[in-house]
Amino acid sequence: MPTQSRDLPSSLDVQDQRARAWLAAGKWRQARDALKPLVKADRGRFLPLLIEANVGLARAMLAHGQTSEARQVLNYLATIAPADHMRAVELEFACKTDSSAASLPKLFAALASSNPPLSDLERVRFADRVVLAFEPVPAGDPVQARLVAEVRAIHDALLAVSQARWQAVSESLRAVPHRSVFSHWAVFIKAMAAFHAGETEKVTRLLDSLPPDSAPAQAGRVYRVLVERPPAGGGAVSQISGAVLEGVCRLIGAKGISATMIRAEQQWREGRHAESYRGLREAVPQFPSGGLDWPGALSEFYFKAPHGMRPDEVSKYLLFFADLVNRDRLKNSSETMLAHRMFSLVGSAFTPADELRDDWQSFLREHEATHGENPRLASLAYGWLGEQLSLMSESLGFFSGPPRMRDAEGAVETLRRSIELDPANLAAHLQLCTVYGTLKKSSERNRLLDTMTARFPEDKKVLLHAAQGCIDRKAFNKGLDYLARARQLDQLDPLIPELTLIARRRLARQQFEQRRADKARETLAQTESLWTDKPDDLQRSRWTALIRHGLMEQLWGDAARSQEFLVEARELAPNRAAHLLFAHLGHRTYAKSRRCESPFVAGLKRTLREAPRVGAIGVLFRVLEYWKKAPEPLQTHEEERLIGGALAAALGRPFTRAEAMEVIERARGIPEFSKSIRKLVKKFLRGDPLDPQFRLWRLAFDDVRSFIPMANRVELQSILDEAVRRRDESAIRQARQMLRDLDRSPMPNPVDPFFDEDDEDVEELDDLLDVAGMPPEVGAAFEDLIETLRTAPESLIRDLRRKAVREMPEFVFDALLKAAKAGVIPTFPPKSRPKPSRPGPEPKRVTPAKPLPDPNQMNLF
Amino acid sequence: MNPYLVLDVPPDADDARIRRAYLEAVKEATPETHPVRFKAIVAAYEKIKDEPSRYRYELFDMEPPGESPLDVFLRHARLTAQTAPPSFEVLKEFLRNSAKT
Repeated sequence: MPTQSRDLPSSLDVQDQRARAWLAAGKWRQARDALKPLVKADRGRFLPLLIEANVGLARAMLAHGQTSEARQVLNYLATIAPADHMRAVELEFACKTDSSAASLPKLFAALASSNPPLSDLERVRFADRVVLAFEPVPAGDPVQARLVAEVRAIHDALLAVSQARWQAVSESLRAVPHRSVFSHWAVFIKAMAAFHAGETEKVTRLLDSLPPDSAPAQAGRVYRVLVERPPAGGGAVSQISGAVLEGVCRLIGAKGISATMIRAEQQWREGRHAESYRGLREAVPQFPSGGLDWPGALSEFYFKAPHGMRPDEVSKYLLFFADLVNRDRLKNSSETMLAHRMFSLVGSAFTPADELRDDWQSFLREHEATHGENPRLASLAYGWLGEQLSLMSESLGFFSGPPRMRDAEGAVETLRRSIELDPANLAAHLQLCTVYGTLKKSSERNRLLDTMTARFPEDKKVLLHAAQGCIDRKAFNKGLDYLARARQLDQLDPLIPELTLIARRRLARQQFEQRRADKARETLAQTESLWTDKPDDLQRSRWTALIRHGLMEQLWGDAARSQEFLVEARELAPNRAAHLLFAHLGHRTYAKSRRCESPFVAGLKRTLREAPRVGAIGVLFRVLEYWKKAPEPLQTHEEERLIGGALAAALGRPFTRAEAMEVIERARGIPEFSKSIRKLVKKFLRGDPLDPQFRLWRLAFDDVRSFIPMANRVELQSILDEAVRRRDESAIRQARQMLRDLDRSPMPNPVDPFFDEDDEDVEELDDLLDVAGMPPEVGAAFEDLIETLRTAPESLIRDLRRKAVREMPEFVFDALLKAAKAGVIPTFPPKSRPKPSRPGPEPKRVTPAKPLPDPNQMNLF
Repeated sequence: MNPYLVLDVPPDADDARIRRAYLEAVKEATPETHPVRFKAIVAAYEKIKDEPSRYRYELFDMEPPGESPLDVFLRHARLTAQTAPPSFEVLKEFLRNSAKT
C-alpha cells in the first residue's frame, strides 16, 4: 500500500519539502494545502503536520479578528485532531469571542489543571491573557485561588511601578513564586524596576531570561531599545522596528508618532535635512516647541544641528528657514525665536554685521513678547553681538592690509547697550575695554576703567585692567594701588607681581629722567623681591633686571654702579651674546635711538662672529622678539641681519631637535631668516627624514599650505600617521588642522555653480573679493591683472599663474581669468552686493589683543 | 541633552531648586556606580546652575542633543521614561499593544 510506504515518489518528496518550508515560515494556508495530498499518501507521517498547519492557520485568523473563518478551521480540525490538541486552540478561540468574564475562568481552569498538561508555550500564552485582561476573577478551587492571588500580585506590582513605589513592587512580587506560571511577569516587572533605577545591565540580564514568545518579552523589546544605545552611523532606523518604536512612543505619551519619526530619520540620514524638519512640522501640531517634551527635544536638535553639518548642507538647510522668514510663514513663536537664534549663531563670523544685529533683535523681540521683558538676557545677547562685531579679520596676504575690526562702531554701540541694559554685566565691560584698547581710544578706556573699578571694586580682573590702564598713562602710583588691592584678593596670581614689577620699573625710569636718582634707586630696590632665578623669564629674571638697572644708571645715574650691575648680569645671563643683545636693545630703547647704535653693539658683533651654536641663537630670537613687542618698538633690521649671519654659520655645527625647533618657531615669521630656516629644516630632515614636525614645516615653507594640490594631502596623511606613531601631539594637531583646512579650502569645484554660471561671475567675484576684505589700493592691482589677462597669450597666462601670482589662491586666479575672458571688469573696490544666502564655512578669525598679555610682551620700563 | 531634563527641573526653577536637584541626582548616580550619568548630571548643572548660565544656555548653547532625530527622540524617551514611569492606564495599553505585535 502506498499509504504505508516510507519511500515517497519523487514528486511527493518535493511536495513534502515545500510543505515543511511553508510551515517553518508560518505560511499556514499554503502548508495546509500542500499537506492534504501528502496525508493521503502517508497519513501517519503527515497528519501531525496537517494538524500543526491548521492550528497555526486558526491562530493567525484569530489574531486578525477573522473569527468565523477560524471557527470553520477549528471545526475541520476537530475531525482530524485528538481532543487534547483542540483544547488549547478552542480556549484561544473562546478568549477572542467570549467576554473576559466568560473566558477567564476557562483560562484559570486550564492553567490549574494538569490533565491534559499544557505545553510550555500554551501555559505562557494563557498566563499572558490572564494578566493582560486586568480584571478581577473569583477564585474557584484552592489551586485556582493560588493562581488568582498570583495574578493579583502581578497587577499590584504593575500599579506600584506606575506610581514609582519601588518597595511596594518588591513586596507584591514576593507572592509570585519562581515556579509560578506568571513568574515571567515577575521577571519583567523586576526589569522595569531596574530600568527606572538606571541599572541597565540588570535590565538586559532579566529581559534575556524571558520566554521568547511571551507578552513580557515583546514589551521587553521596547525596554531594550531604551537601555541599549543604538549603533551610530545609520543603524538606528534599520535596527528598530516600527512596532518597537511605537512601543517607545506609547511609553512616553507620543502614541502614533513612530511612522513620522522613521520617515524623519530616513530623510535626515539621506541628507534631506529640511524635508525631515518639514515632515515633523506638518505632522506634529506642537512642533517646534521650546518645551521639555519630546517635540521640544526635537526642536532643540533641528535648530542646533547645523553646527555639525558640512558648509554646503548648512547653506541649503538655512535657506529653508530663511524662506519661511521671508514669506512670514513661521509656525509659532518658538520657531521664530529658534530660527533667528540659529541664523545668528551659525557661521556668526561670516554673517554680515547688520544681519547679525537684525537676527538678535528679532529674537529678543519675540522673546519679550513670549516671556516678558528681560534686560539681563538682552544684555548678554548684545554683549555677545559686541564681541562678534569686535573680531578682527585675518590678514590674507595678497588681498588685504592689516587686520581690521569687523564693525568697530557697531561693536562699541552694542557693548554700550549691553552695559546700559545690565550694569552688572562684567563681561560686556571687559570686552568694551578691550575694544577701546584696540581702537586706541585711551580716554574712553580710562573713563570706562574708572566706572568699572567703582562698579566692581572686588573683581580682580577689573583691578588688573585698571592697573594696566594706569601704567599705560603713567599713573604709576594709582596703578600700584590697584595692584595691591588685587594682591589682597589673590596672593597666587603670577600676573600681579609681574605687573607690579613693570609699574615700579617704569616709575623708576621716570624718576631717573626727572633727575631724582635716589628716589629711583629706592623704587628699584623694591622690585628685588619680585625677581626670579629663571633665566628664560625676560621680564622678571635677575640678569635682565640687573641689565636694566645698569642701563638706567649708565644713562641717568652713576657709571660705576652701572658697570657693577652689568658685570653681575653677565655672570647670570644664558650666554654672552644674549647679554649683549639685551643690553644693546635696552640701551636703544631707553636712549630712544632709532639706529643700531649702543656701547654694546661692537661687542655683540664680535661675539656673533664667533659662530655660536643654534641653541644660543634661539635665546637671541627670544630677546629680539621681547624688545620688538615693547611699547616703544624698535626697528631691528640690522640686528636681524647680524643674527641671520650667525644662524647661517651655526648651521655648520651640531644642534639638537629642541634647539632647531626653538629657532624655527621664533624666526619663521621673519623674512630675513627664511633661507636659513629652510636650510635648517632640510639639514635636520637629512638626519631624520620622517620627523613629522619638520616635514610639516617643509610643507609650510614651500608656500603651498593653503592651496595644496592633492599630492600634498597624501604627504599630510603620511605625516599624520607618523606623528601618531611617535605620539607627537603637536604635530598631530597641526596635521589634522591642515587636513581640515584642505577639506574646507574653496578649491574649484566642477559642480559648483560659482564656476558654471557665466552670468553670475562678476557678482560672485565681488563677493569673493569683498569677503577677503581687500583695501581699495589693491583694487588697482586687480584691475591691471585682469586687463593683462584679457589680452595675454596662453604662455603668458601660464607664466603668470606660476610666478606672478604665487600668493594668490588658484581659484581666485581662475575667477579673474574667467571675468577677463568674458570682457567684464568688476568695479574696485567691490560694489555692494545683495544679501548673501546664509553662511558657509567660517573664516579664520583672530580676537583683538587682550589687554593683559604675557608679561614678557608687556610694557617694560 | 537638555540640562533641565537631565536634572528633572522645570525651566523656571531657581538656583536653590536646581542645586537641590543636582545634589539629589549625584547622590543617586555616583561616579563609581553610574559614571556616564554622573558626568551628564555635572555637565547639566554647569549649564544652568545660576541665572547668567541659564541665560547663556538659552542664548548661545550650540550642542545638538543627539546625532539624528531618532537618536534625540530615543535619548529623550530614555530619560523621561526612566525618571517618570507611565501611568497605570498607559502601562496597560502599552502591554496589551506589545502583546499584539
